[in-house]
Amino acid sequence: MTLSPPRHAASPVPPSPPAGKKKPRRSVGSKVLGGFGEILITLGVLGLLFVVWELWWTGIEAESDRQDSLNEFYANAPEGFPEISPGGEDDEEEGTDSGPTPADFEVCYTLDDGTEIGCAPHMRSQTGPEQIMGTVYAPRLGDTWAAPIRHGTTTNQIDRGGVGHYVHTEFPDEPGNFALAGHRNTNASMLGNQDDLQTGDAIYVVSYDGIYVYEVAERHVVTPQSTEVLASLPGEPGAEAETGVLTFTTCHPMFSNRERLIHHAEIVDFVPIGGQAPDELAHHEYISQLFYTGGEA
Amino acid sequence: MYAWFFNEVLPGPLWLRIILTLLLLAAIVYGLMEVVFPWLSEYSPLGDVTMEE
Repeated sequence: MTLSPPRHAASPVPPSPPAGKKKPRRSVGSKVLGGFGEILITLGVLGLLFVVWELWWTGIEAESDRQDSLNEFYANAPEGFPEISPGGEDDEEEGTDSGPTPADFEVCYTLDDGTEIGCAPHMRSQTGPEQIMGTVYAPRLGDTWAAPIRHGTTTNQIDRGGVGHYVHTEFPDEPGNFALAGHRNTNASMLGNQDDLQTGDAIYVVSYDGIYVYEVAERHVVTPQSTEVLASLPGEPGAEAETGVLTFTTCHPMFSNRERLIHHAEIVDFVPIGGQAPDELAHHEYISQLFYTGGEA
Repeated sequence: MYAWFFNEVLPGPLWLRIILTLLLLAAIVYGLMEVVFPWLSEYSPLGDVTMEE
C-alpha cells in the first residue's frame, strides 16, 4: 500500500527524503543542546535521589541499629547487678507472687513532695562512644516507641536511631536539665512525632538505676541558637535548678532546619530496680526483666 | 550522550545492553546511597537537629 496525497491537497507532495536508511544528521547545535538537557535531567534525578536517601535510606540502617542497641542494652546487665525477681511467670507458677521488691537505692536528692530520686551510677558509667546510657520511653509516641540514649549529640550518636544526651547538661539523678536531641525527618526520625506530646504525658527514662518518671510541662519553638533551653533551669541560664527536667530538642518545622521544637518535662517520680513498673511500660518485653509488672499488688 | 553510550559503548545485542544498563544504574545508585550521599551530608545542614552550643 502506498500513501497518496489527500485529494484536497492543493500542491503536490514535496519530494520525500532519499530512500536511504541513513538518519538525518543532527546539527552541532542540536547535539550540544541535547547533551546539556541530558545533564540537567541527570542533576535533577541526582537531587531527587539525595532526598530519597536523606528521608528514607538513612532510616533503614538507623532503625536496625536502634533495635540492636536496645537488645544489647538489656542483654548486658552491669557487673554485680542484683538478681531481679520480677514476680512474673516464675512466681506465678508457684502461686507466690510476692509483689514488687524494690531494691535499696542511694538517694541523690528529694523532690518538694518528698519523692526520693535515686542516684544513677550505672547511667553515668555508660558514656563511652559505643555505650547506651539508658532507654527513653514516651507512650504517647507509640506503644513500641523506645529510644536508646547515647552520650553526645554528634552524628556518631544521634544518626544511629535513638537520642543523644547533650554532654554539658545534667543527668537525671541531679536537679537540672537532662537534655536529649533526636532527628525529626531522617535517620529513623526518632522524634518525628515529638509534636504529638501533650502536657501531662509521661516520659520514662529507664536505666540499670531505675525509672525516672517525667511529665511533659511545656512546648515551644525556638531558633537553633537559643541555648537557654539547655540551661539547668530552662530559660534562665546561670540560675540554679531545684528539680529535674527532661528536654527533647528536634528540628522544626517538618522537613526544615530553620527552628527547633522543644519539649520540657518535669521529674515527678522514681522507681527503683525491682519496683512496680508503670502500667504504660508493662508490655515492653524488657521492662519485666528489671521491674515488677504483675499489676498493682 | 546516553544514546551514544547505549548504542556505541555497550557491547552485545539489545537485550544484553538493556541488562548492562540496569546493572550499571543499580551500581551507581548504590554507590551514591552508600558513599557519595553520606559524604555529602557532612556538608549539608539538613540533618543538623541539635542546639548550636
